[in-house]
Amino acid sequence: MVVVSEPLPIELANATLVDAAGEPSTLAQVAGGKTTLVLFVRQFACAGCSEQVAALLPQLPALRVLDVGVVIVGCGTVDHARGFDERLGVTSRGVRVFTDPTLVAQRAAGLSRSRLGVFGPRGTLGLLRAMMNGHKNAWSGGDFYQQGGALLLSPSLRVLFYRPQRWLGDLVEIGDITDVVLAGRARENAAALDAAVEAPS
Amino acid sequence: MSPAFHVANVLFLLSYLVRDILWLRLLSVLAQLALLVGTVLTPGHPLDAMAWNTLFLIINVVRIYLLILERRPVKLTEHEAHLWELVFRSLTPRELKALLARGAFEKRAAGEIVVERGKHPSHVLLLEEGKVEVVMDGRTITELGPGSFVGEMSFLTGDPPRADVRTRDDCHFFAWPKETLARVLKDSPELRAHVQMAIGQDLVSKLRAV
Repeated sequence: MVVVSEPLPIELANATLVDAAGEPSTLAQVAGGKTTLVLFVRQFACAGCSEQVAALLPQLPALRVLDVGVVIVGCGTVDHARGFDERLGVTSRGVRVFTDPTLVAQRAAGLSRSRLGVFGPRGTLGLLRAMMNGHKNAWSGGDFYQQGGALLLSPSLRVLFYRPQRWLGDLVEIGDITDVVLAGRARENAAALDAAVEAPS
Repeated sequence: MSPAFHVANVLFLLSYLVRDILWLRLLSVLAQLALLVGTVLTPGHPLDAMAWNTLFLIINVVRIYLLILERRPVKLTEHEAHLWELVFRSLTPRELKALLARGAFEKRAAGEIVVERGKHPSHVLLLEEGKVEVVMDGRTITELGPGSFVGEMSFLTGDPPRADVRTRDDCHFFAWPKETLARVLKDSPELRAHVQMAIGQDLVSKLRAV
């Protein structure tokens, strides 16, 4: 179970993600060493996922300034992941794209698989909103019923933020994640001030 | 049927063909005026049709007024332009105006404490001119110059400040009430991203300086 301010569960840390070149890595390898936002998209072809990426893009400069790595994880094939990147151009903006077609990472992250989340009233409205905002929808980019979510991990893989999505179009507010990082940096500054005052002058 | 009805429908047709919302509304207003004339000339003067048409006309005229206001070129004052230069280059002048509309410029004399250790500041300040010093236990830890935020650490963490911040010179600040700034950023994700980046850059450079 993923819990904020606790270490990342071991099964999630060890989940295998495959990049667009087909190279496998564990989530711990992908996210360890620096603060990292792991954004799970439902799959690689849904309009809601494209809308979520569109909400991420304006936040990338702030995340870059704060030295936060950004990783997108979907659940289709490697070709789906490649097509997703070609459509949305995320890797050219410093975002890494991975897939876990086995859904082990999604299960370990506590992300639900829900028909109601796709075809229920909120999912249907979410799909319509995304399509009205110009996002294309296709049915084959991975598991169509898988829901996404977001995790913010510290360099030592402690969970700083966790937000599972409950239905298609239940967008994660990326600005909330940036706020968590900013608060962390502000506390680092405060600690540096304390250290400076304790240092001999 | 009165020719005014045909004129009105041709104008409606044209309004549906244009892409710009302002032209669409302008043509609609002309069409609605023609329709009004046509209704007046109709025997019996159907009042219900005239009333509905007048309502649509008023809505369109108000919307046209607001659109023109929105499209007017924005002129920044000298101080606003300086803030844009220092911190907010990624904002458009209109976005900057919207952000600055929620606060005010303030002058503080040299030697004044603008943030007091242990006391939650009511405002987030952005230094436009002058220098401030960060003082802990009587020791100046660092100095901050134009473009630095003051009181932002408490704003972000909710923790009380660990140090005093004192003006070294006469200073010009821009000050946002904390709650107002939080509300503005909540209501506008675009503005939020820009402000977060500006604060992030400032935090990173302060950490390096300390």
